Amino acid sequence: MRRIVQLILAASVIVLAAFQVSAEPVKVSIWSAITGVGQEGKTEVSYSDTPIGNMVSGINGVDWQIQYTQNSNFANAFNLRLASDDWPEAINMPSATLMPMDKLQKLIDAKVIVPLDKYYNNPKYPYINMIPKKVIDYWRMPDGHIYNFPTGVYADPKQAYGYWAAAVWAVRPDYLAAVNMTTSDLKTIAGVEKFLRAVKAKGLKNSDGLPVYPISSGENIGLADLILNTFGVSTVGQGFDMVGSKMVNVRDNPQTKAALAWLNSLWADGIIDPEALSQKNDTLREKMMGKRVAMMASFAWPYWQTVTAGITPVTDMAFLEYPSAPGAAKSGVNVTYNPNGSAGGLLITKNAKNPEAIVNLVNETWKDFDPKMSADAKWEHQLTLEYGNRGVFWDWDPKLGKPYYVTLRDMAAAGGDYNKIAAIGFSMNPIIVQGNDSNYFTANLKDVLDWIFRMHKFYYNKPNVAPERPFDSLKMPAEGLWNKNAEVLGRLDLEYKAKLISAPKGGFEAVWKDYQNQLEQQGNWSKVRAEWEAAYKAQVK
Amino acid sequence: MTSAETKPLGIQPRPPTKHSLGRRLKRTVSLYGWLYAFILPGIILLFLFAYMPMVGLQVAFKDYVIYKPLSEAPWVGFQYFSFITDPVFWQSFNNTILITFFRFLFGFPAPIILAILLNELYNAPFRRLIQSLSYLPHFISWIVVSYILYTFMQLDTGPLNMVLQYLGFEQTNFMGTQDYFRPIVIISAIWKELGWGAIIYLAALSGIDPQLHEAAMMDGAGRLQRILHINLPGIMPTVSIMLILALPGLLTAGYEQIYPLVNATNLGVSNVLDVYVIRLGLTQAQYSVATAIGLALGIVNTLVVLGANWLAKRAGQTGFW
Repeated sequence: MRRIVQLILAASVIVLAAFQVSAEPVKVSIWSAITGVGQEGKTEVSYSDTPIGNMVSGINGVDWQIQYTQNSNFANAFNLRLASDDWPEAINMPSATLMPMDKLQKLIDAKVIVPLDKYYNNPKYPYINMIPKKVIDYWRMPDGHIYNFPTGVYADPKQAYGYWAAAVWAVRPDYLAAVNMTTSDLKTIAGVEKFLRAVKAKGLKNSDGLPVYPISSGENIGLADLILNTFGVSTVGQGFDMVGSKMVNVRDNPQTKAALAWLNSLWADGIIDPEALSQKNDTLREKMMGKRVAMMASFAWPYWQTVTAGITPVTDMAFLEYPSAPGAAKSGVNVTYNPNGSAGGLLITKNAKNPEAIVNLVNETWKDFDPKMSADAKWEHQLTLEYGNRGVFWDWDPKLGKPYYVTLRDMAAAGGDYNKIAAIGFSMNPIIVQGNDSNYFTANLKDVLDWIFRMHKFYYNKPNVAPERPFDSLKMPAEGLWNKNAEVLGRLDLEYKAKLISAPKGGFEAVWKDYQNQLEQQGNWSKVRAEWEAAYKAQVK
Repeated sequence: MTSAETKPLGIQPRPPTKHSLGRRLKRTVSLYGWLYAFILPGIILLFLFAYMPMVGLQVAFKDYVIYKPLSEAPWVGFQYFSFITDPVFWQSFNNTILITFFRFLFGFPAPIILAILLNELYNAPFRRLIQSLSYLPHFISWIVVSYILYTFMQLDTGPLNMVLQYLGFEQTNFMGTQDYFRPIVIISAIWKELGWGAIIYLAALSGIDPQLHEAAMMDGAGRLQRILHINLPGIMPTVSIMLILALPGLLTAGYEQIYPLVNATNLGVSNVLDVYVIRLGLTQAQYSVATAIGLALGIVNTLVVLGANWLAKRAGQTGFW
């Protein structure tokens, strides 16, 4: 009798286990080619290990096994994978800016990714069929196939919610008041210079008695780039923009020289933080938290942690319109977004064991494009895909003008601690759904992320932000001069930005000439530019 | 005179018996089989990780694309050796030599001096303490060291500048000018490896017969004389071997040390060969050029080792062969 009971129990366990297995989401390995780390700094994480991921993967049927890219070095990570032929089942491709088309072409040439044509115009996937033809054509490769499921596509191409609008002019109001000036005095570059010199002259010190620097910068002299933009130079994409009737690169733009000469004059008078050209971002953050920097002109990324952790000394800083500069009708472009896939896309590799499960999920992400869906239903659907069932990590807020907000009480409690945020699973889903940015409606995160939300809203419609232009990411030959010299040219740009800014009085012209010579000698600049111009003629004109 | 008369007296050497290779091999294996078995793992590892990869050297002579089989890549001769006309190569070559030469000049004798000084300490607990403290930096990664250096030399809040200011000197932005880059790299490299490098010399010093010191003391030799005439000659074979091993390092400035210290102000002097090759090979995927450079540097290194070995033997010191 005892034996029979044991057998029945064993059989029940097996049957239950079988049911459980069948109900479990499919595990799919994916390389997130966008730099990042999981909870506790892990480079490989299972999405279902987080509370949000556990719920969402149960709903979506796919449990991502995410492999992150580290060290902000996408090119190295890409080449290493290509060399070792080590590919997971899917790739979360970064935006076209980060992953140029030549990399996509290499994946095709290496037969790493598979064509996805059979999933488009397939009645089995009705929502994928709703992808606008314009978007599909944009991603169609020269061989006529499409290899990508784009993500972050705008239902309304003109919509610019712009979470990437993070190139900021910011000033400390307390120091502005200390030198008897107001933000209206900072509308021109001359006004800015007057303020910076006034801070220096006043010899301001923070509460620890340490000197306050009028202006500083994070790694790689982000300050210089924003000053170029302010002087009307576009630094985005491949560095070209229309000047008059001609496409001119940032290296050849006369305003580049004017902007750097202005910085050089400030440097010579000790106005710029002497460590601005060499310091790590950690040092900058330390200074900003200690109220040792009166003004910042750069992307906010180098000091991101100080403005996403609730109210800090840095969130006191006020945003400024880009000041007008001599010779510039408006600021240059430093941020673009691509309505055809602002977040890149999803690629399926030759190693995918269950492509159908992936495509089913992709199909779900496109449901928002169903015209029969109400606005509220779209939000409900989108937030369910990202944060799970309503009522747990997000809910309806009838008091707000906007329909939904993400509650994420735990995230608010995390107070900007990335490890805690990642451990909850927030923003860990490698597939970004189409549509709006729900962050704008996170009312209860106001205290934590208020500064960056205000920053996005302040800058998203300014002249420095633009939809991606046809010439921003031309398809350059994979083994061509452009790609071969890109690294050397980038290094020369950085090296000479530092040299030009810190050139001794009267020595700027000589350093500029040396820069031009080195661009030719080391970077073959004329030939590289000619290759780009040929590509421009072939692809745009 | 007959040939028999020219033969020396005494036991005559037996003429070598000519055995077949197989028989000699069998005899060797039967005599030393276990010894060969012990070195077999080392030989296998050497073959797998040092000789097998040499097959890849042909990449330097082929128009190689990483995702296509090497056999399909067309031969292009010495096309990729044109790197010698690349000004960036020569810039990185010069930067490398300047760093490694001075690192070798000051860094090679430093552990020898430390070992000799430690050897002269009679207070054993104090000696052990100094030894342990000098080893510690070896176990700190270069990334951490770079952060320590940046913090240590920061303006206003860095200990070094605070001391300078206290002594009445002006603060100096050490990390913000390329003038200090090489001294910082050289001094930090010596600081990090000084104690670790002294271990082998301490071991060599401990192997010197104490009777030599006793005899010298009886003859009235002072401490300095014993160091000069007993300790230094006693460790000279070790010094000779370490010198031969160190010389190939003249073309390797050390990627892991240099890279974290790179910033916009020192790009002109921090672009060393290791960084240059990694940028070419890894970032730009120019595998053929990177391999050509690696091959050329390998040949130069081999010649340097052979030359150093020959010189050591000529000087009556120990060599490898």
